[in-house]
Amino acid sequence: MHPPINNHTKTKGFVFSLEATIALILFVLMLVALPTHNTSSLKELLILQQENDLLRVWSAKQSSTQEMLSDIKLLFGENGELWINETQLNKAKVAKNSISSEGIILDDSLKENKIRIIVKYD
Amino acid sequence: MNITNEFSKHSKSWNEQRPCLCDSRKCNAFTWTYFTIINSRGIIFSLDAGISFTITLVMTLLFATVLAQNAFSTETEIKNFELEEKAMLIVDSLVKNYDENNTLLGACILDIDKKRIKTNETSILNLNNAKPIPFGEIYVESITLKTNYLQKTFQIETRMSTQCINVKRFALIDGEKRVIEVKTCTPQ
Repeated sequence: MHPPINNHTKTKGFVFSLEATIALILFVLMLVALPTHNTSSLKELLILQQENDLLRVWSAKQSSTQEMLSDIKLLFGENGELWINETQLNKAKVAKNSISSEGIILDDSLKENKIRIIVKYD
Repeated sequence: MNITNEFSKHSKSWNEQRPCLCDSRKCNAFTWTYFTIINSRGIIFSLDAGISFTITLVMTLLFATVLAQNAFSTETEIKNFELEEKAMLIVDSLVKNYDENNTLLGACILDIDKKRIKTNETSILNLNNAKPIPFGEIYVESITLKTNYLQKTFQIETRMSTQCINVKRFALIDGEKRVIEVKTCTPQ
């Protein structure tokens, strides 16, 4: 004759399972919160320097709009955007981040031109 | 040997609850019950402890792996960052400064009348005078001038390298607009 199964055991077992469940939840939470490695670079500074180079060169040597667009394409590819006097002359590829530089360049007739270069990057 | 009496030595409460009867059938039944309870509890407890132990073990392994990877990538990143930083410093100096001894440190045109340096303006002659110079653990391999149609390279130094980085800047070379690309490397 076998003794009856103790139901109390099941209750205790459930308590232990709850503990294990909490441990599992904590484990998943810790997995989510694992430290991720962020890479640091000087990309932003370089883009800013390149934009400054363009403005500096255009101020030293008069350039037409087409030349400016060509220079931007040479340096930034399809990521550069040119605005002259608040008019957008080309459209860059869509990206997460952008860096903008602005300068005023005088043309031959000493007319002020507000030049803005926007570079988009991921 | 009376098993129940042996248990009673260790478990007073058990003895109080279930007094031992010397009837072998009942003793066997008590023994069976006792072991069943122990086993049931033991199994559940062991399962729980097993899960916790496995989780702890996996977590320790995971964190150790992540830490090791982080340490390795940080080391690589520091080297890359150092190379990038120095390369940018060298190129910035090249297009913004003037150095009569070694134009690699400054190749800009000097305007003697105005007593100033024309930044972002240089010449082929100046770039030709660039000589190799030690910058700690890095060296400048070449300077390349680029337009949409042509490309001209000035070889500065040739060594076996492990890693190289190209930094582009924009300047006027003898009055013509060019991209200056400087290749900086770490030697093997």
